[in-house]
Amino acid sequence: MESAIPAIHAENISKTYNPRSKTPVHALNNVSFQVRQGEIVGLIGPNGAGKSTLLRILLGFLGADKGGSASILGNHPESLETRKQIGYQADSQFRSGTISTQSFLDLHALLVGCPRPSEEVAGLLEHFSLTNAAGRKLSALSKGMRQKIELAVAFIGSPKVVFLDEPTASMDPPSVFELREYLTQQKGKGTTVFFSSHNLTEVENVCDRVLFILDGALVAEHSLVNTPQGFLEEAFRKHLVERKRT
Amino acid sequence: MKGAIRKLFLIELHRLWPIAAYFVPVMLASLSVLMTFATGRMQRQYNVAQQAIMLNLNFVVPLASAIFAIGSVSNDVKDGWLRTLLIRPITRQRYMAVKLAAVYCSLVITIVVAGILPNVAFAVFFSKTPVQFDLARVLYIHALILLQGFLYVVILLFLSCWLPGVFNVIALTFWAILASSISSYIQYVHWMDKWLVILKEYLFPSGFWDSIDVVMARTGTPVAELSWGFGALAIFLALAFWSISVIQVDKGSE
Repeated sequence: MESAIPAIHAENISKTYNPRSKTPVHALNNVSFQVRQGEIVGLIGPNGAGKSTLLRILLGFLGADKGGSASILGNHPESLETRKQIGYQADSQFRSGTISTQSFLDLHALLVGCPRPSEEVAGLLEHFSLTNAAGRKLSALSKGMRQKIELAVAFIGSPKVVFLDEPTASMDPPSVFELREYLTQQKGKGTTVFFSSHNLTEVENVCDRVLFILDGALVAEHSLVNTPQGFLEEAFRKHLVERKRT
Repeated sequence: MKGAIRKLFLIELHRLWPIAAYFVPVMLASLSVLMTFATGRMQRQYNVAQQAIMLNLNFVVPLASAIFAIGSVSNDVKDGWLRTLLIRPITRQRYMAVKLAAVYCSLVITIVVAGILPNVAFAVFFSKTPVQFDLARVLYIHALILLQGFLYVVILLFLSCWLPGVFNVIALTFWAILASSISSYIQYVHWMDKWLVILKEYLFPSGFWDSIDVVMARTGTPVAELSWGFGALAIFLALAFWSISVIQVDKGSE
């Protein structure tokens, strides 16, 4: 049964970088939307549209301009209650010369309070084909491998809401298929996933709904249930052309 | 949560000690040995407590605390470590406490390896002059040295919340120069003005350092000096914990 509390709620979120400078950058402009629990929602937009900024504000890592508000499962994004129920894969990955993959994942499993951290980590390593990377330092891994580790971290502890920032950006096709399969499994478990992407095919394959962001503004949203293949590309082109006109 | 905090502490400690960092205590210890030999042979009597002040307070503690603590929080923001941690149910204050513990442990290890061992080794094996070793005094002074080291680490962590590593060093140097000139001015010109004296004490806190002077001079118990030291420590601890709770975890730009 669908819960009345939205998984993600954003209202009038704006963000201006360097507001006091002569050339302030308006990264987001009055963005409002909701994501229901159990939905997989994609955020699509070109480079510099404000996707990562929006994700970081939703997670409380970046302060928004005054007047807007965001909540996750009805709580403040930075509250400990929220933090127990979310996962996040960042676009820029953490790389350390001293920490091994196993240590990194173990730490996250412990922090999130997994009852059986070793089993949880072993399962994720196996699922994302990372077993061979367990003993290796994060800095010694390829970009694609580190991205998979960040993904594994995002899903540690079976979070209720997961935020993914360009999850397939550095991945090879087999890993993309694995992720697609994994997201479908997670949807079956009722996990909410909110992810930003450039990859229209990927979004079309896994999402229930898509939000278009252009120049910091949400310009449209579409349901992707029962839509023909190629619908998203066509819609995206249409919104880009409309935006250019205005 | 205890297991998670223990794991985080071990990882923080490990991050402070990559292979290259092992060079730090070795280098400091080598320099300490040279300094000990140079000064120890000139003295009529080898005073272990005095030598500890020379080595630790003037040399090992400022250098090692700078090496381990400068830019530590700002680097965590820059490389995404803080973001990866704070997505979990851990408070910023707890992160700061673990960071403080890890940096301070690293400092204590360095003090033992580079400041205490060369001093003791010289006293036991190489000193040709009589050795003055008053255990109680030596321990007392080392306790004060450790407190001064803790104060340095807290100040540096506070600064590192706001400034990147290199600016940390510049700010600290500028602060030290400014503090010493203003302190001298207040001490000689406005020494009757209690508010300016209080300002001087907080400008660059030296309460623990002054306590050591009192202990060495055997002029009584350094109650006032210790109070200043603990007062400054409390203020900078509060500033460090406040700073971590207000800084942005992600500088972000798109």
